[in-house]
Amino acid sequence: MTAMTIEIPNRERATSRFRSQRWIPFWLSGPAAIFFLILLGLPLLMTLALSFYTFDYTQGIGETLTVSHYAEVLSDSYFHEIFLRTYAISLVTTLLCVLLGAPEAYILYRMRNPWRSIFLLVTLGPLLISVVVRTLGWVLLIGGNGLLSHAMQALGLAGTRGFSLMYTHTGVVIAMVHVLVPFMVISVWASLRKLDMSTNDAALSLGASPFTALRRVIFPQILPGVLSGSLIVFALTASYFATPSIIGGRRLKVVATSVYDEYLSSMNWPLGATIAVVLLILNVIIVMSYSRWVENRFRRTLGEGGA
Amino acid sequence: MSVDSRRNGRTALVFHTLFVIFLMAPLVVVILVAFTPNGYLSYPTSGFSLRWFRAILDRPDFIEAFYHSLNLGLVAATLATVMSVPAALALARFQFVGRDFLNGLFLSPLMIPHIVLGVAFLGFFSQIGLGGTFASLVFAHVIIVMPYTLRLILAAVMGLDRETERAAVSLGASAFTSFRRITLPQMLPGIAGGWMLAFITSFDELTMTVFVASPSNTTLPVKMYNYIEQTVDPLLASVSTVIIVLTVAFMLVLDRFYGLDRVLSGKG
Amino acid sequence: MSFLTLDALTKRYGDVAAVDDLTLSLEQGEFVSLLGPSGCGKTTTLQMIAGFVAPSAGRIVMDDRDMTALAPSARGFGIVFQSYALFPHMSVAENVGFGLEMRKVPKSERMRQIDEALELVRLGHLHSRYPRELSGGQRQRVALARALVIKPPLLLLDEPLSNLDAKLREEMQIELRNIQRDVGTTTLMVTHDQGEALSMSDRVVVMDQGRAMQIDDPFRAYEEPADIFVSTFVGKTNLLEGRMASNDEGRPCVELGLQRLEMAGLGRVGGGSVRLSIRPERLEMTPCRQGLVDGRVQTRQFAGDHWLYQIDTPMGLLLATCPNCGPAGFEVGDDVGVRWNPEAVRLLNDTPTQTAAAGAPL
Repeated sequence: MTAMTIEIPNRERATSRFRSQRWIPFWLSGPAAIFFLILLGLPLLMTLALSFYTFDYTQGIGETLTVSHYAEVLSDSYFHEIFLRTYAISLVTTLLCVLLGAPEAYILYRMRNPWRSIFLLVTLGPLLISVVVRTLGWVLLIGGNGLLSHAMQALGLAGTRGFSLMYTHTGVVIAMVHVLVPFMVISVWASLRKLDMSTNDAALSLGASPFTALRRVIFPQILPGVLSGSLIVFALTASYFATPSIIGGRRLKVVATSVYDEYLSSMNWPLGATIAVVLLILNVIIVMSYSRWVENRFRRTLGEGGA
Repeated sequence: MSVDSRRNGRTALVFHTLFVIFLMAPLVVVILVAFTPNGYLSYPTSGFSLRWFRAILDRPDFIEAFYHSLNLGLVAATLATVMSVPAALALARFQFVGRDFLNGLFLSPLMIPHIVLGVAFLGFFSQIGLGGTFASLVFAHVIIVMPYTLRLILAAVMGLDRETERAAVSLGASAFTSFRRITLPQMLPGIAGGWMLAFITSFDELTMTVFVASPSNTTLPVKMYNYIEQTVDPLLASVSTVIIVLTVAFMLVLDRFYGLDRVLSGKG
Repeated sequence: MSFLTLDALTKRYGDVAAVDDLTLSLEQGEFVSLLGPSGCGKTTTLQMIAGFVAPSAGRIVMDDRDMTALAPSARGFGIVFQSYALFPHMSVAENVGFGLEMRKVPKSERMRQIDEALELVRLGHLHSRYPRELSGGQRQRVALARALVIKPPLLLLDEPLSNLDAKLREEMQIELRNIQRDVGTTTLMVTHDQGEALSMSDRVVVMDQGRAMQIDDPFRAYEEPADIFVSTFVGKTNLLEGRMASNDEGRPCVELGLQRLEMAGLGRVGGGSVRLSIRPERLEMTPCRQGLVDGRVQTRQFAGDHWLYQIDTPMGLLLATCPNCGPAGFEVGDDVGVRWNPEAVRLLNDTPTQTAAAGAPL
């Protein structure tokens, strides 16, 4: 009897507390959610819609719907070349970032303070410096009147007209690697922070050479960082604008610069939107299938560190 | 043996030196060119001059763009932080319908190429009549910097010992007092780190801003990009040098305060 | 009239009862421990008393006041958390002064009380340090000072010593108990460490699966375990099976080895077999054929102040300890006899009953 009279107010209190708590997360995240749905969701949907509108150079955007822009992007060899070039540059840039960034991260990891902190700052700091500034540096280095050209001339390797890597694939890739390699370092660094260096000692104590220990024991443990860093670098390169635009110019068009040109030079917004949508879809497909491949391939050994 | 095995060998140090040279070379070149006494792109072989720094003062358009970037960064980073704090508390502390969706939504700008965001915002803002306004720049920048503030603040909330809040309440603090005196101060490093990363991201952003900015509302990176498209002269180098110096100062504060590797890898 | 009463306190999560119908009374100034394995409901009980978890049923009454529905901040209990939960952004003095600040104690008076509390835990010199600059033991003392400075009617300790290393833990056990005696605050401690519970408490509540299995003073909880769970959880024991029989006068008794034991409470058991318990230190090793059962030494461990033997006997593997008074008497492989005093044998209930559950205070 007493138990009954006690239990009822308790349950009431518990449920009323629950009822009022239930809406708290929605109040807390509501402003940001509404902001994002309106200012991110709507613009993306409108871009998708725009890609289906007709376009005429004299009358501008038409009233009728069409898939002709998609047909054009998917069938025209002009666009094939642009997409192929973009992904080829991305692939080479990614490989170079792995080859440069992963060893550098490991070297940084094996340094002792204060050198470690100093060089970590030197390596990651450029990420915070404007891309325009960093790319300008490469223009000054590899351009026709640049340091590289002067050096080549001094060594007699280039004629009096100078030597320029501007508007070449090599130039674009060098500058892209420079811009993006810190992402690889930070990604591998995150893996290294979880690494137990005594596993290296264990391998050495079992008779492995330093190189074998590195290859068989250390590398597999930092592989998650290399894999996720590669994804970041590849996806960013594939959609990068500033560097290919400044160094590649009009001659070496990539997807991002062709979107820019359709929008701001040709004013053909529907076609520009179509290229942007195709780029977005390809990026999503690549990211998702890569993540799934990594997960299936390495799930057991790398656990949650894989992503 | 164990000490030796943890040290870098000669090859490693050579590699490291070349790597650092590769990273630093473009920045050093920019700074060198900025001090040239000549009227054209060249290295200061015959002496240092500040003429190209003085030249900046004769370009009110660059100075105005700089102020626009500064204002934009301050407002966008602050707005993103103000929205991220409650959102992070909701995501970290409550299980609710749509939680995973919201988490994905808030982080999605990291996955969407900025060029795509740029054309999307261009279409959207010109459609609703906000095209080229400062407000449209702010809205667009809040979207792209909020993943950074949210990630760091989320990490701060998750890393917080909730028993400290219970301790405060057991000592007589109200829920509000406990939040203000115990929770918020412990989140502060994450909030400040997130704000700073958001500010610098907004300040540097080019790809998306190129589409949203207008001649009257342009940012420094857009201004410089448009300038490079036409000509490359030592003025760009001196402006870049100013940006490098300011960014390095900012970076040192950020590193001192929070740890650059932690900020950039988004881990608490 | 007792000071704090838990009246049929229950917490259910879905179908699972984390705390099941717990009734307990504490006297003013008493030190009581909730002892049990992880998941036994002891922490949930503490959190219900603190007000962090709402009970599904039952009441918490203090000094005739029903606290069950009171907000945690209004209860005014001092709590020492397992992680200490020191405020990392506040100095030691600010941590200790927080509760006083919440009570709007004027600054000068606050300072005096902070100094007093820090003196009590012998940390007066660390006034302006920050928690991260303190050792584990020092943090523990700050947490204690912070809980005591508000002069709480009840002190709740949640595994207060579990984060300290063994040596420091023993020192703190003594110090904590001394401080508690000095200030006279009624204290409820949650612990999974039976040694800690036995050495510090006036009474021990042994819990399992949300229920109080035995509420007794430490000596009785050890000497007179109510059931199998208590006898195995509190200290080491030998669980034996005895056969029911009747003696020459026809009264029920238990056969254990060569022994016939008359024990209280056998009338309830009926026929068949019963569970018995003998503590290892109550077993005495003798030369072969001189004890109540014979066996062979299987292992021998030296533990400093005593030897620990495992003896293989027809009754099963027996654990025996004998104090270290010179070299060990027996080697591994020796045939030995084992003897015990009939009074050392305890009859255990298979089913949990709360023999002393009324919690009659001492």
